[in-house]
Amino acid sequence: MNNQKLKDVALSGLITNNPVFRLVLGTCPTLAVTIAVMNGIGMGLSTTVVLVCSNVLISLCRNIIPDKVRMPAYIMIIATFVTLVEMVMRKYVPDLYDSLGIFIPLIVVNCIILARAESFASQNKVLPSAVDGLAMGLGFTLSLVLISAVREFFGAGMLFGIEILPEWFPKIAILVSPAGGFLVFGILMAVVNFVMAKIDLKKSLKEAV
Amino acid sequence: MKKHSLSKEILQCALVLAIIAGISGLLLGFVNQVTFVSEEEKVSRSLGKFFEGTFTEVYETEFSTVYKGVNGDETFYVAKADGQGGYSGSVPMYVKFDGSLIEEVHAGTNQETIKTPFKDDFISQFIGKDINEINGFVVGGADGKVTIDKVAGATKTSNAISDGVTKCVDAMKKMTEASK
Repeated sequence: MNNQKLKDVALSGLITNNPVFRLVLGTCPTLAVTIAVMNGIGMGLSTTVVLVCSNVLISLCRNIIPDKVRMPAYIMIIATFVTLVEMVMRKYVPDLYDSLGIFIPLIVVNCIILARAESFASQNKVLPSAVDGLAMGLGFTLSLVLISAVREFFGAGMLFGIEILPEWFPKIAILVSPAGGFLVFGILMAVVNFVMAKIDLKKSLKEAV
Repeated sequence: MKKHSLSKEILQCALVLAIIAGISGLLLGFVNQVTFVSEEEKVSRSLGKFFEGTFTEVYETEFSTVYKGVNGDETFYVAKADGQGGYSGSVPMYVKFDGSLIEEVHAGTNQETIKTPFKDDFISQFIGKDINEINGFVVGGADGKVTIDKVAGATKTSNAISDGVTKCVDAMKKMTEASK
């Protein structure tokens, strides 16, 4: 795979096929943990590590794993990496580990990871699989940071746990509730898809000319 | 012939899954050894954020735990309890006692988005109270408990903090009675 194709894979995960806003994958952690930017970064980076590691290993083993047992094999590989990440977080970042709670072990069933394993890593070589995992993971992280920044800033008047807006400034309390999560998610998804549609239209007009 | 190839396939699948499971198990076992966090370490980590010293668990109730802390010549007690009813779940509360007086109140890692109730203005309502003279704390006042003024717009967080401190006070009172 040449450099241009690797670049396409990277751009696909980050923007054109962004797992949250374009593919609408991993919605459960997206809505649940995005009440604070630090949570978004923690969840995003944990998922990125698992994505890269599982993609690399699944790509390496793609010719060894029999087709009939590929799903249980992938789940075992993903679960191993998630448990490793969980153990490391518990030891070295206990506050973040407490904040994310049950959503760390639930990375195992995050459909972004299984989707990339099944649709990309199991059919491609190691390097593109690693790039795909990294791009998808960073795309997921960026989306979580964007959603959590909007919710934390307008809902609680804070960013990174630091108060930005003065106490008297009215906050939109609904944004930090689950309903507010859906609201912000929907609005941001509409904005991202609108911008992407405009870009696609410009591209196709250029090609036509 | 068919039967033979089928059993070979089953064997191959089982072998691959067994190898993956075996390697995973070994890897997880090794990492668990390296990153293992003992109960003592967990306690000293959570309490160490707010108080200096070494801690040992001395009393436990259904909702809270009391630790004895030693820092040089000073001996003190700290109770920990989860305050229920917060906006985003429970709020872990830590209360340090100087004899029967509440000396310090701190909140652990929590998901409450409005942080105003964790500031001194609200927390100072608990400080200096004698646990022998009170029956806990409640926002708005009820059940013969000390009335706590809630933070406007953060009623649930104020409730959770009061609940946590009340549970700590309750545990400390029970421990004192039990030791008599």
